[in-house]
Amino acid sequence: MNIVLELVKVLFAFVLVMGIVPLLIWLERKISAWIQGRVGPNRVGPFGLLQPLADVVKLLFKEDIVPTNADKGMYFFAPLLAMVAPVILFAFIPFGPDIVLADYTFKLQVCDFGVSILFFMAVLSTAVFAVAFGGWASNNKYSLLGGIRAASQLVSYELILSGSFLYILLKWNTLSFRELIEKQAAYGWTIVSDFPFSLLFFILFFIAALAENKRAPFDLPEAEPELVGGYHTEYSSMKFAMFFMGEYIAITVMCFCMSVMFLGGYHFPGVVDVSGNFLNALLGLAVILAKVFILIFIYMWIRWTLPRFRYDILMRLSWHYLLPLTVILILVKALI
Amino acid sequence: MSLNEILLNIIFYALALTGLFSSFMVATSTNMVRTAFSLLGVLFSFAGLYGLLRADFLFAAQILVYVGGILVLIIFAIMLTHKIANVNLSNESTSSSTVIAVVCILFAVLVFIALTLPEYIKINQRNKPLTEMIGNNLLSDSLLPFEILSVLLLACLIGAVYLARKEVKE
Repeated sequence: MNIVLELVKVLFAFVLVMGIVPLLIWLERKISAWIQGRVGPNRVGPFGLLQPLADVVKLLFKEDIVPTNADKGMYFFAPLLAMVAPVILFAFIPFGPDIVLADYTFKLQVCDFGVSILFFMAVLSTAVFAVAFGGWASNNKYSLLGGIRAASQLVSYELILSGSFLYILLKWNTLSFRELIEKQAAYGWTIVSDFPFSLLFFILFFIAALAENKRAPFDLPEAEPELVGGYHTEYSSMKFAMFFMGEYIAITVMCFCMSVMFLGGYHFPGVVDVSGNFLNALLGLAVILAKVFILIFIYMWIRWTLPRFRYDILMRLSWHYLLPLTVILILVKALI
Repeated sequence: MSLNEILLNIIFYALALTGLFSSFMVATSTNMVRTAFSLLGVLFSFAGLYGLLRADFLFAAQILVYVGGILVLIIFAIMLTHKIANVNLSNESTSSSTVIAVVCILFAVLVFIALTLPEYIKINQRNKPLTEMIGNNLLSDSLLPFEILSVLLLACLIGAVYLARKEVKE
């Protein structure tokens, strides 16, 4: 019985992820069209909603080209890693309050470690391998440059992410996402309860998350005017689709993480009790999804508004400004 | 054996085999990047083994420090060398008979230790995260060694910066 329930949870999280990705691709196209004064996809299905499905069919039937001199093993492995790592992260996200059945508490979270934030950080830090190995294995100078750029960019901005995680530890004294939400429900969301620090850290985390997800204005690893397609230049068909999906999954999980860390997760004053029944759990899921979609909208808004950074500016931003700021803020917070 | 134990056994052997195979690849592969790639498999499977022992902190720290830190640095170092554009980037040193002999002796010592250990490594039975305990311990009972280690690391960092710095001649 227990194993079946656990499997149901895993399946639920997986289906949720796989359902969100096509929606995001559609949203991205619609929002970019809206910002640029175009119509966007509108032929396939109502409002072009079936466009991602058509894309998938197209990608499935495309020829899968493997460069002759590519390093075969790594060339095949890199897209897998790009997709698997962010999907694993979903195991730590609490989607809603517990459902109390007759004699069983059903947690809307795949695995509730006491130290999920630590695991989250750990798995997050493996994101760089897919890009670095994929870029190298393609045996293409553009891919390689994209891979190197990605490696240094991700390493630089990861420090800021870790700094923000440290701040959350200092503030709430817990390493568990679930406890984090419960504490925020009791004492107010992080972003309002500790005003100047929390807002600064939220902004820092958001910028670092943009860079970590290789999103514009930090999408240097795949800057198309300079690098063709960056690390995925040589990838076609479903392998390219896996990189693409991995990117959107990573964005989604990052937004989930931000909403849990700073915006109270599935808690909303007046709407959702932290402990509760089935209806409450559904409401909690709706609340966290709403928060996530607002964050994702900001992601896309930024992407279609700001131009791409120059590479040296990107690096200087991280090492000269953001990282010292993070360290100083943590020191001040620890001393107070 | 219950279903749980069977599952744990399957996971253990899968992880152990992956670890062995990847370590073998690390040792024999002549291509630098492929070596780093195999090292990823080694580190991940060992992290998984820590997880099976329910050593949650070691599990996370293994991935965080070794995979996310040291391996990234290794890849960084490889990628910033000037020969990186060459796919057949290789380290010329291959295993000689001396190396194999040393490895065999080391292996024998390890087997000896493993066989003579009084009991197996205890699995964390408390089913409670160890991270909090480790943290408390580090800042109370083992504070002195912890501080000495951190000073040592700081000295290493300063030394590394000093060595890497370009000498400015007046």
